[in-house]
Amino acid sequence: MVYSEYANEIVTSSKYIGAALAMGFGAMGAGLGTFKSAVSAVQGMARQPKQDMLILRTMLITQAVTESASIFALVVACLLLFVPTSVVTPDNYFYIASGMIATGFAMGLGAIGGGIGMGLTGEKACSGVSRNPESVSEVQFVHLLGSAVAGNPSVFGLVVALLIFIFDYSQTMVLPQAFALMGAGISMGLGAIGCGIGCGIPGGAACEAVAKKPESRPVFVRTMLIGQAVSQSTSVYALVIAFLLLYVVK
Amino acid sequence: MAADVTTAAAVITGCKYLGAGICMGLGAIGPGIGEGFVAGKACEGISHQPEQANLLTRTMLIGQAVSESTGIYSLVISLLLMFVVN
Repeated sequence: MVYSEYANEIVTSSKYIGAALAMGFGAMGAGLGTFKSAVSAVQGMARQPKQDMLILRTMLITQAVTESASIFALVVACLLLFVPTSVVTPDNYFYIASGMIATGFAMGLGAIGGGIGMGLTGEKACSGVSRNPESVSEVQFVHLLGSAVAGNPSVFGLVVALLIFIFDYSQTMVLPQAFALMGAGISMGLGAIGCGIGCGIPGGAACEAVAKKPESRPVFVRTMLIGQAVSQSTSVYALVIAFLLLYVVK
Repeated sequence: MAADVTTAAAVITGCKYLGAGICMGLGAIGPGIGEGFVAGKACEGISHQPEQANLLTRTMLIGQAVSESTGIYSLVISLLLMFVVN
């Protein structure tokens, strides 16, 4: 292949680009998510200065959960920087280079939606606790459940990123597969954005509703989970397309 | 020259796969956010009128099914790009 005398350099630089994509995009979502929790916590403290410790605790829990999306991105970025890939040869360096950048896309873009979505859930959890401090245990239950589902697309992104990273590059590959690897990364990365945000909105609405009426928690949890399951479906399509691109097409 | 023609054909096939990935990725953004809005408003509506929970859930599911359609269009186009188009 062309430029095969620079095979190692090309693979190394593509790993740097992949790490930058993973962490750069991956920081966006959690940044936007954690600030929403902080804003609604500050507003809540202004309304109820006596409940400051309770609101602070809720804010920290929600932010810690929100942060998990960018921690996935950090892990993948470190993996790209420090873990060696399969052996680089003049025949397969192009596929490895494409795969490393695709890993960055899958994880980086995949973390945006989860971060924003978990932040939207946390925002309403903080405002709900500040409005009705007695409902704190119900709100936190719904918040953790809603955030777990909202963070799910980021987990899909992590899975696809790891699968591309550990892909068997020693097999005989054909040129279209380099594009297919990139397509799989972009499909999962972009596909996770909408679902992450979309699953966060019902989570937030359920937190707010539970804070108003803690006694009807089961109804809100049921509606939230049904709504989130349907919103989640498009990211499952993206996951399917990513798997087909990785393992089926040649 | 013959080698160049093979490479060009391989690049075209590769672009089909890249296109399939971009199509599904971008196509999933809109329905994901849209369906989330519907579910959020349904939770809000149930908190105002808990006795109408079944009606609201039914309407939510119908609305989400319609929003889903563009995501399914993207899925179909991606599958066509991968397996049908030459």
